[in-house]
Amino acid sequence: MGAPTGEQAVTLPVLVIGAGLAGTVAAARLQARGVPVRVLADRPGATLLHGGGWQLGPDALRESHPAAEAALDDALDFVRIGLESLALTEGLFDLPDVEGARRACELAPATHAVVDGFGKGHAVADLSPLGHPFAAMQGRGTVVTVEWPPYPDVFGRSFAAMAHRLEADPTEPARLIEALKRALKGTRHDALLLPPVLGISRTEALRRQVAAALGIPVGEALDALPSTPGFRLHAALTAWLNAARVPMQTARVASISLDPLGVQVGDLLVPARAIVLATGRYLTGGLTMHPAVREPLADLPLTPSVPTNPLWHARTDGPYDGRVFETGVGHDPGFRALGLDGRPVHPHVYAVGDLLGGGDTLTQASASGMCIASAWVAATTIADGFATGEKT
Amino acid sequence: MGVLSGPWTWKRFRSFAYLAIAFNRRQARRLFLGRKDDGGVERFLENFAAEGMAPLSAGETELIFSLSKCTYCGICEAVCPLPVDRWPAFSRALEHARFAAEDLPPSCPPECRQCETLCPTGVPLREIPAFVRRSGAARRA
Amino acid sequence: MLDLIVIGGGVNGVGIARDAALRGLKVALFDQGDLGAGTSGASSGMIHGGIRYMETDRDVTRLSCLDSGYIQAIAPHLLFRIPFVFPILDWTPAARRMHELAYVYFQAYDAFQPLKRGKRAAKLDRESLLRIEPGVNPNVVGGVTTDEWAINVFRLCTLNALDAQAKGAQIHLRHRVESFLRGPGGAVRGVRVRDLVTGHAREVEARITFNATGPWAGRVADMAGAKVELRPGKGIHLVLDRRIVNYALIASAVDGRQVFLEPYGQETWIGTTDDDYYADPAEVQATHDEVEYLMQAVETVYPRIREHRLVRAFAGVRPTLHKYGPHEDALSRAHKVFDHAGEGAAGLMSMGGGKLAAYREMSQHAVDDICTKLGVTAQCRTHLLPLPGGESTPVPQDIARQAQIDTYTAARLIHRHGACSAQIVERIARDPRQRRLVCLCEPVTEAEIRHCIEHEWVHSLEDLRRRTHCGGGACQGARCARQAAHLLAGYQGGGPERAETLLADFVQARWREQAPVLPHRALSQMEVTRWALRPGSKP
Repeated sequence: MGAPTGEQAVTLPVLVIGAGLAGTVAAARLQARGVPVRVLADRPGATLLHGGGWQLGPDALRESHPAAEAALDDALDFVRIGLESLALTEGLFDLPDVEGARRACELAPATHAVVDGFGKGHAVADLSPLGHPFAAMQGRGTVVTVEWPPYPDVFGRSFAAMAHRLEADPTEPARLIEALKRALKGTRHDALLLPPVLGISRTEALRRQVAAALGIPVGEALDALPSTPGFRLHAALTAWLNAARVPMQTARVASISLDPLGVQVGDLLVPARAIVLATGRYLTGGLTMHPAVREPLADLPLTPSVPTNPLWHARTDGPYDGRVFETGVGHDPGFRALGLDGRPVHPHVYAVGDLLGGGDTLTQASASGMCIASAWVAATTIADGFATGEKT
Repeated sequence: MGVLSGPWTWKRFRSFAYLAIAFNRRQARRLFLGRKDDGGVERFLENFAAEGMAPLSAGETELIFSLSKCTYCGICEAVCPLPVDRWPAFSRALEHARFAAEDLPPSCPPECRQCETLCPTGVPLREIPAFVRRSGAARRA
Repeated sequence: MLDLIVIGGGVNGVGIARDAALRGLKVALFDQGDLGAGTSGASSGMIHGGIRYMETDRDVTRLSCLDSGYIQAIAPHLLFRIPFVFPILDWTPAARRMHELAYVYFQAYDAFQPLKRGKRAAKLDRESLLRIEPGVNPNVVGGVTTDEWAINVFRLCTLNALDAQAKGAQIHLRHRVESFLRGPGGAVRGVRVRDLVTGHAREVEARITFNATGPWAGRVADMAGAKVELRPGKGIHLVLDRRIVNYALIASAVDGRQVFLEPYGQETWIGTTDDDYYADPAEVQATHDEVEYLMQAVETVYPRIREHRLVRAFAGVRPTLHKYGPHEDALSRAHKVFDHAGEGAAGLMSMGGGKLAAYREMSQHAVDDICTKLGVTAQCRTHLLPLPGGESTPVPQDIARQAQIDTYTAARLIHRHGACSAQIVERIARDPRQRRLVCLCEPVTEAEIRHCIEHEWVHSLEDLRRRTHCGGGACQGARCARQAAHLLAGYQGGGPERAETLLADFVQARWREQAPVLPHRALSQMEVTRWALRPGSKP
């Protein structure tokens, strides 16, 4: 197969397709290792739906890939520094979301993680003009009614919409603090639980500001749909890529060419040294379902394999048949994408993140850990190869 | 065709006779009086468009495919100052479009594309107000 | 002692309960599940005028149209018009003659249309047909059109039950009849029922026990040693996420049966199949073959149907009267009331056969027979007295203004509750925050959900879906189910754990309908919905 050779190969960039969690980690890691890299992304996907609680495992990845498992700690350190604005905190958490569910997770932005320490004496802020009964409040502390935001037109809007408003208007945080002070006046609470409204890009700073003004710890619940933590993650990833000066391009990739190696964008074939597929699952089109379940860019086979028409085999009487959600692109220990013969489809084509399937979001919910570790290992493999190639 | 099979009861004979008479009367009127009485598209539209069930245009039929991609994730509503959370529902509201149209803005600000840029499945959100308003207007007409 | 026990909360069961209660009988109704959760809720939702009977018995057509008119009068808000278009494909040299014959047939039907406020038939040439419906296969000679009505079946069942209750009937859902109480000579003098929620069993006595359990009728009668001979027929419907047409299209399936693609409320339904079915009606579920059969049929008149998005497929079992020989589709839709006195089970009666559109007339027939046995002379009034909310239909703008909700939400609220929308408006006046939308698709306010939980026997999220359609739309609960679960759990006193249980049951019930159409362009939605409804961690 046509791996570009000689000088050309060294100057060609690695193309990372997708700028979600996996794509960003891979690109940032490659950039940090001095490998020329470019990110091609069309539109955000499941990243924006991230609920705020990061689950790292266990999943198929960690069971079958000791290399990825071993790399997870290094990868996590890298991510924590890269996503500094989120102030990711490790621990064994059981955090409430705004809809009243509890989410077990091993990593969370500080604004959520701090909630784990809240005791019986904490207060729960019910932002009454929004009209949402903040379901996490049920049986969890004293409900205080907060008259924020003070506008008549926000009724029924989501917490994520309010977080955006707080982000856009520099005078808004002060108004929120005033409203909270009024609501808490004359009461004594150990801490305050808010729904996730504390802006998008400066949440941790804002949280500290609010806590300092109120004189008690302040934290936020995890979110549902639409998800404030998802927007924050998306913003933090974009900021990371910008700070690392990774070239980014908005482009819809139509297909991948293996010989010569490159990606087809419109009429243009963009040549590449290596390609990292971080295109997500069904939501973003990393996997599509029509006319059959397939990987559309390189037509990679899926494992565990699903029938051409999974319907014929769908178990409908029992619990969820997760096969169609667990399936994904097969990979070797270095996260090269596998072809039909079980060998890498190309020595320089990698697949990372949700595209690999593995964890079913419903039953295992381990996507964050898999995204990070697979992207890290793939980037390391590429960079190691690059280093060797440069020497020879 | 099984039209003529089965037992021939008196009721069935009578019913068939009625249909035969109807057929002959229509043909006779057509031949001798020149009355077509097909109703045609005019009668059809008079019957139903007035109640809001106006025909969909080819363009609208096409738009429906992309509107159907919505996964109701809510990302659009979080970034839009307009109450766009209602729009995916409004876009399905063909039979009550005239009511949905009342709560839609005239149009989106031309320079704002936030919702469409962030939509994971590429729903043409900005086209919904015009689509719903057209359906609603067709109803009233 | 009661006069009448009705077993079964389908449209006939509640219809009988209402009719009997209106005639002054003391009635109790038991259903093992929920109102309309079996055959009624799996029907096409048509209150049609029986156009197909014009070739066998015009009187049936006339009576069907008359009854369609009655149902419109007693519950105008529940009905909506569906124009039907019958495209004549240019497949045979006889197509033009078919076109003319079909028009004559539809025109003959016009004689009955005034009985149900129906519109006249029209004959469309090819160009006109393609103009009114651009999605139709261009290979047509033309089409003919007629007009029918559809109804919200779940609301119809609920309103009948509510009215029966208001007239003194007891409605007991999630109660399974375990056995009959027998008197001298084997006479049935009541039932032993078990409350499936509490687990308690009790005995209830009545002068007549009426078995209105549809496809279960044979099994129930069997408990008394009596026989109801049915030939159950399975039928499925496919549901698309939205209206893709404004007019229903009739298509011919591969075996010559007629199937349809109909705009139903905000959705589009494709139906239906008819196959002999021998398994437990509770286990009925659509299969891939059936989905394919319908898609293939609709494809002939609407070629791009496969590019549209299927959301779910629901299945039910028709309690068709038994006859050996004919094909399923050729079986009569007539109904019959069985008196089991001759089988040593005096006091037990059953009903079999029938169709949704005839429910009121069937109920009247049943209660007439019951009254004859009981010596009651009161006459049926179910065609005269409005169902709850049917007294008048409010204007959406008024409700919208009073409740501070958008006009569209108001219009949908009125469709479900009619004049009773005022009760939901009052609730919002007491607590304005309840105007908040829980379900964005339908849409449904918190006030309506609370109203239904308090007044309409809602025990699960599936019950709530049947009452309000909350969680039944394209997102299949991604946005609303968890919030609704917490609202409902609040009433049931179980806290967040109860909400998780309610949610898990809902997800499983939705899966039964989603699985048959799973890969059909909706896996992106499933990915989001599965994420949103994933179970929380155990406390």
